[in-house]
Amino acid sequence: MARRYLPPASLVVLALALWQGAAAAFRVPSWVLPSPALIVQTLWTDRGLLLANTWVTLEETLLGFAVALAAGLGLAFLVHRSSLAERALWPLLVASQTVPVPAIAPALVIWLGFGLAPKIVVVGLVCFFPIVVATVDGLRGVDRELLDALRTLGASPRRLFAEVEWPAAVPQVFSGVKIAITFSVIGAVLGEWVGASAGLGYTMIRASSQLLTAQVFAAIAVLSAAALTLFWLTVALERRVLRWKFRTGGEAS
Amino acid sequence: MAAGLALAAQGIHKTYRLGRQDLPTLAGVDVAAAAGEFVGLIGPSGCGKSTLLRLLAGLEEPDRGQVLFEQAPRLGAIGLMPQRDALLPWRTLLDNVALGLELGARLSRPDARQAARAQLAAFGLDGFAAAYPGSLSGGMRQRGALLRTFLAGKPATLLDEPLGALDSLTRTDVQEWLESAWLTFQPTVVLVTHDVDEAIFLSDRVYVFSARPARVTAEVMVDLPRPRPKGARTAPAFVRLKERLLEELRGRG
Repeated sequence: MARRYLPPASLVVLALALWQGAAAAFRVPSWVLPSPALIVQTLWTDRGLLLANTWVTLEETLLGFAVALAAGLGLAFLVHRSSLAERALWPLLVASQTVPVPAIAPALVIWLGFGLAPKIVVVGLVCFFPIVVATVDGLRGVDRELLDALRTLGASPRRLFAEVEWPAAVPQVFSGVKIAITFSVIGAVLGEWVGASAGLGYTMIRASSQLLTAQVFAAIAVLSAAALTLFWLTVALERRVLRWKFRTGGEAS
Repeated sequence: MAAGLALAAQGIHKTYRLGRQDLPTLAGVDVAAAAGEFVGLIGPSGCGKSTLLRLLAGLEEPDRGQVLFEQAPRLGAIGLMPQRDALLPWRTLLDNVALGLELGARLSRPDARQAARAQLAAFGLDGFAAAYPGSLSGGMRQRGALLRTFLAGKPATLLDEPLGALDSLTRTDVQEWLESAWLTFQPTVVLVTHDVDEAIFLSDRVYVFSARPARVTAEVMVDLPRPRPKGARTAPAFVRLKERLLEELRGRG
C-alpha cells in the first residue's frame, strides 16, 4: 500500500507546498491564483453549494455514461455480427470523433433546451467511442480454437457468444470503460458550460465571472475527486468480474 | 457405409490458397474407424493431419472426396480436442469439465456440475475443482480437457496431439489415463500424434501419413492386449511395431 501510494502522494504534497510558498512570497492576489490553503478553506465554507452542484453533475455523468455504454456495446455487437454493418457504420463512427463536441454542444442546447437532455447527449458522445473500439477489438480477438472446440461439442451460435466471445471480450470492454468513465465527467462539465442552471461546470463559469477564483479551483478539486472515484469503482468492479484473470496472475497461457 | 464403420474419410482432397499460391494439403486420403475403435494417425509435422481432423469434425468441407458418418450434420456430433487444451480461462476446472455435459447431455449447470465432480474425483483432479485453468499444470489441463471432451458423450472423438505440450514423464502418465478413459467411455477415437510410442501404446490401428500433400502410406494393426501396462513399451512385440512404423515414416513405402 505505502509503496504504491507514497510516491504520487509525496509529489502532490511537494507541489502544493511550493504553490503555497510562491503565493505567499510573491503576494499573488487571491483572485489571480488562490493558495492551496484558501482553496481548502473554500471547499469547507462552500460545502453546501459544492455538494448540491456535485449531485447535479454526477447525475448527468452517470446517465450519459449509461447511454454511452448501451450504445457502445450495441454498436460493437452490430459491427461484429454483420460485415455490412461494419462497412456502413465504422467510417461514420470514426468520422464522428473528428467533430469537436464543444462545437456542436451549442446546437444541442438549441435542439434540446437547457435541461438534462443535452448534457446526457454530450457525455454520451464523448464516452461511447472508446467503448465501441475496445469491444469490437475484444470480440475480434477471440481464440478461434476455443470456438471450434465448442462448436464440435454442439454449442449453438448463441451459446458460443455467451460462453466464448463475450467473456473473451470483457477485459477489453473494461479498458474502454476505464477511458470512457474518465472522459464522462469532463463531458458533463462541457455540457454545462454551454448552457445550464446548476452543476459544477456551471458553478465554475459563474464563480470565474465574479472573480471567485478560489471557488473555481474548489469545483475543479471536487470534479477531480469525482472522476477518480468513478475510475476506482470501475477498477474494483473489473477485479471482481475478471477474477479468473487476476487470480492466475495475468493472461492465462 | 460398410458394416461397423463409425467414421470414414474417402478420397479426401484439400487445397488451401495462400495469397496466389496453391497449398495442396491432402491428396486423396482414405481412413476409416470402426465403432469404438482407437485409431492413430502419425506423420511428419505439418503434413495435414490437423486439417483432416477439421474435415472429419465438419468444421470444414473437403474439395473432393467425402466423409461418412452415422449422423448428419457431423458438426456438433464429433468432438474435437485441439492441440492446445482449449479450456475456457474464465471457467473453473469443474465448470470446464461440466461444460461437456451441459453441451453433450443438455444437463443444467447444477446437474452437470454434480456429475462432473464425481468424475474429477475418479480421475485425480479432485481438489482442483475451483481452480482456473491459468493456475493449473499442463498435465492437469490436458486431463481436464480430455475429460470434458469425453463427457460430452459424442459417438466419436478426435484428439489433435493432445499430449504434445507435456514432458515425457507426465506424458506416459496421461497416456495410461487416456487409455482408461477410453475404456470407460468407449467412443470411437481418432488420435493425431507425431510420437510413435504414443500411437502404438494407445491405438488399435495406426495410419502413417506422407509429408504434405498427405496421403496414407501404410496401415499397421496393433495387436496388443488391453489394458496395456507401463511395461508394454519394452515388450518385443511393441518394439517390432515401433521399428516397422519408423521405417514407414522414413518413407520406405
